[in-house]
Amino acid sequence: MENITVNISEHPQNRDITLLAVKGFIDTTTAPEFEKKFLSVLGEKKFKLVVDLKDVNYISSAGWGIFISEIKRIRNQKGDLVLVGMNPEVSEVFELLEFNTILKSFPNVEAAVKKGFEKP
Amino acid sequence: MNLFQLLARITSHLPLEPKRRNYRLEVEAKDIELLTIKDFVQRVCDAAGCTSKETSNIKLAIDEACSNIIRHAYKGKEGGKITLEMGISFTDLKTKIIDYGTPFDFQSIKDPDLNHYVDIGRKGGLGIWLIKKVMNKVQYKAYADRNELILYRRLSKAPPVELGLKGGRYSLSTKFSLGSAALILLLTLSAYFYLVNRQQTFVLRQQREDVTTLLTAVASEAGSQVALKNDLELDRLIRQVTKSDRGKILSYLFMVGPEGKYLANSDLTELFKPYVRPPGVEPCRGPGVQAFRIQSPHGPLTDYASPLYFQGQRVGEVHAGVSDASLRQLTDRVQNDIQRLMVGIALISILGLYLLSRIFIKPFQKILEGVQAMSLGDLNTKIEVDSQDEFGQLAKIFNDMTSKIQESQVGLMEQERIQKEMQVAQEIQHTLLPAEFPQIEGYEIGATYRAAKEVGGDYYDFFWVDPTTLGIVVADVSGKGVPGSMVMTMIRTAMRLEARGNKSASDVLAKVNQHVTSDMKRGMFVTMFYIILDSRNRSINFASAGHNPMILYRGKTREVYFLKPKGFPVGIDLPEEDMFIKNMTLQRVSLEKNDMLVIYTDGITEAMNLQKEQFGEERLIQLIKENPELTPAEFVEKLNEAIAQFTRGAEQHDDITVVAIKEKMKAEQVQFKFRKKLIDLVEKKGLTVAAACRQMNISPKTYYRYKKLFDEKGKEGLKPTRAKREIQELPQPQQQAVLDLAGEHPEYSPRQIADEIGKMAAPSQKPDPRLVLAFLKRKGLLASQDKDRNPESRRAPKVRRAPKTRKAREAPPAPASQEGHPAAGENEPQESPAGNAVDSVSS
Repeated sequence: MENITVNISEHPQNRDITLLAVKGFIDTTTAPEFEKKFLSVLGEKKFKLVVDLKDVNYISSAGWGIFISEIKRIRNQKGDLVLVGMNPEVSEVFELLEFNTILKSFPNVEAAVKKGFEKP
Repeated sequence: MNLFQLLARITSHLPLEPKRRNYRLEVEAKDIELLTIKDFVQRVCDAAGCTSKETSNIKLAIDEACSNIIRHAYKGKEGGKITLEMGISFTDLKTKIIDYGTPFDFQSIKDPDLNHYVDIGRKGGLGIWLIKKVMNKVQYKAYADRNELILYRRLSKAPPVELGLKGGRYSLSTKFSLGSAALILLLTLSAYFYLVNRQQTFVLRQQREDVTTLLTAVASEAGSQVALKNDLELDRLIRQVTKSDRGKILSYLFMVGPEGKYLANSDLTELFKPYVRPPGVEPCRGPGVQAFRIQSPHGPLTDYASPLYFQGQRVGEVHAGVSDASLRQLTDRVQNDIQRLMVGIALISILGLYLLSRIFIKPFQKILEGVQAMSLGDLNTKIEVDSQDEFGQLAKIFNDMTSKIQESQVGLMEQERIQKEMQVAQEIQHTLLPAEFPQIEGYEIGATYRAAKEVGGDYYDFFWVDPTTLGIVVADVSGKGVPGSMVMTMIRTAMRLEARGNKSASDVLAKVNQHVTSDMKRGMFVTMFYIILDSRNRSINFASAGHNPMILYRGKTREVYFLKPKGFPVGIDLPEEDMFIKNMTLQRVSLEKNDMLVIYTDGITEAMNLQKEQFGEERLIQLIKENPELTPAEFVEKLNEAIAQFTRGAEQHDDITVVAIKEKMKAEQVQFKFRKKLIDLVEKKGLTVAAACRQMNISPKTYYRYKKLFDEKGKEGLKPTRAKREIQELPQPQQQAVLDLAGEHPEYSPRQIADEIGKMAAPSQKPDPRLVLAFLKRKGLLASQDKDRNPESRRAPKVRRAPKTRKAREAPPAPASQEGHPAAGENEPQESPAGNAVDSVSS
């Protein structure tokens, strides 16, 4: 079942930023797969993460849970996790769940790389 | 917003359940079914006309709920069920999710504190919160046997029409009611106007008559009283009349004397005033009542006047006034009565029609629901309509239709299963076919295999009998599909097992037959052609188990021969165990340069074009004769093209298999080269005899034989001396000539036939009488003839006839029999005492 693919790459200009380009949907069935990839990136001590959700049409609570469960650890390591390219449906839930109070989001990767990792 | 939406809005605030269009789904509580659920929700949302955000939210909430049911209510155990009931109303979408697992305490679940989540790195438990966030109302009820989670989501726009019924979103009964109401209104309105008009005219006339009668009566009574000057009596009369029912309507009633004085007046205040004749009222002339229209200070009125007589003497006039206003009161009353009646009739009939239409349309709605359920994939829907009318018929037709669709779906599944089986068979078959062409010294080999659309039963294979000897088998299994492929697998295994080291083609086939016959289904059989190419000895032997003949093309003479050794097909349950081997003939042939052998299956000769013509042997022979210069690979390619051109778009019915083998050099040369190389290895390269023999894969005994020849005669001694092997078959045109002669002169002996043919052609072309005899025998016609060239029908009678003819005519079997040929190892069969000319060995 190919309901989710996660493409992990370094940002070409900023080598310390890691891009996670997700394709498909994140629900209870695919969340474990995504979490595995996500944790493996953290395992490599990469803590500046840009998650590209442009090709994601759907994120359930299992998916959202993954993002906030590790955010403290990431920030403790002076990193951050930002979301980019959410479509209107995903973005609506993001705001409904008040995740916008915790996570930063940007329209695209360029904006995220530029502003996402500034000191608050 | 239209009226209906408004009504729906209002009713949605009342504690009433709005009418809904319902959809239902039941799935097993498994993760994989979450996709099915999502798909279902998507379709319902589409039907409800949700925006993409609404759809996304509803999907999300239902997904969360179902995930929770799988994880928590059923704890991941298999076998649970989830039932989804979704209902669309004008304003919202209601989803009821039912599970039969462990209930949970819905009230105890609190909204999560996200900062706390961040602090402790928690990620679960967001589901319910999310559901509450994206839904407008959430209810949870735990019953004894089930739990229900009910979610409501308001919709921003009204759902589209249920079906493509024309005329907007009104239901059929509403439309019917509206239409009939309009009609009723129109009817009652016109009835009303007509009735009012008629009734008013009638009332007015009645009134006029009443007043006239009244006045006439008053006049006749009052005449004498006037004459008597009995004013009191006159006054009493007037009071009496104005108080009477008929007189109530009068505005005034008075009498005047001839001198213009009131004699009596209903209005006492006027009594002592002089009578002023109002304009328009003329003094009464003749007897009888006259009416005048006048304008009074109280509006227009009609003045009725009648003269008073006493004994033929006119003594005064009596006047009565009826005002229009009082008349209007009268007509208004009539109008009101009719109005009430009409409104009553209209209301009762509209209500009645609406109720009736509901009753009539109810079965239609049931049908509608059934069709909707079916459109969502539920083919078990049955519509229950009891009536015998058109709806009943429609429902019955619908039920028949769904069950037919269900049946055909089952049929389709069956077909799919068969197709899958065919695919499996095809895959098996393809893995059985050899992947690469073998390289064997001195021979060129080309092969082609083209599968028919359905799995055919062809199979061919190459394998090494020993390092310099190649076995090639071409077979055609009578059955198709998986059973055919299974048989093929068996044959292939048996062939590979038995072929190794066994240089007798007939022996191998016999052993394969022994292996597989007991395992093959009755009625199934395999025709096989097995040929063994010994590259070192340049000898070829072959046997056929009821297969198509092999074609030999002799390059030198450009003749074509059909080589068809006798043999039953493999897999036939023969009455005696050794009948198969006894009936089989082993033939040998030596090829010369540019000779070609073609082994094929009937897929070639029976390839059909659109006109149902078969490709046939003639075309095949023609093609071989026309292309002597081609390599086997090129030839089979050419043959493929020729068949494609011939069939030209007609579907291929059977597998096509061709193997072509061509001699590249003279057999003697190959043998000479081999022997020379062997000697050279020892003499020039200094290898030990043992090493040289190992390398060339021969026994030292053979080496020493060659060494002896070499020592005696030098290089010349290594050249093979043995005579060329003759082909044990009549050339193909001579076969025809023999058949013709045998037909014309059944009394001719084979020798006579040979002589006759010799006479017709050049003496050098005279056939060997022995071959003629063998040929006639093989054809089974020393007396009768059988010109049928179709290999199928040729094969069939032989199977029946062969045992008898064999016993009657065949020479006693050679002692070589089963073990037959000294196949083992390095012994060269050609140089064994079996000799040169004997090629057919009945094993």
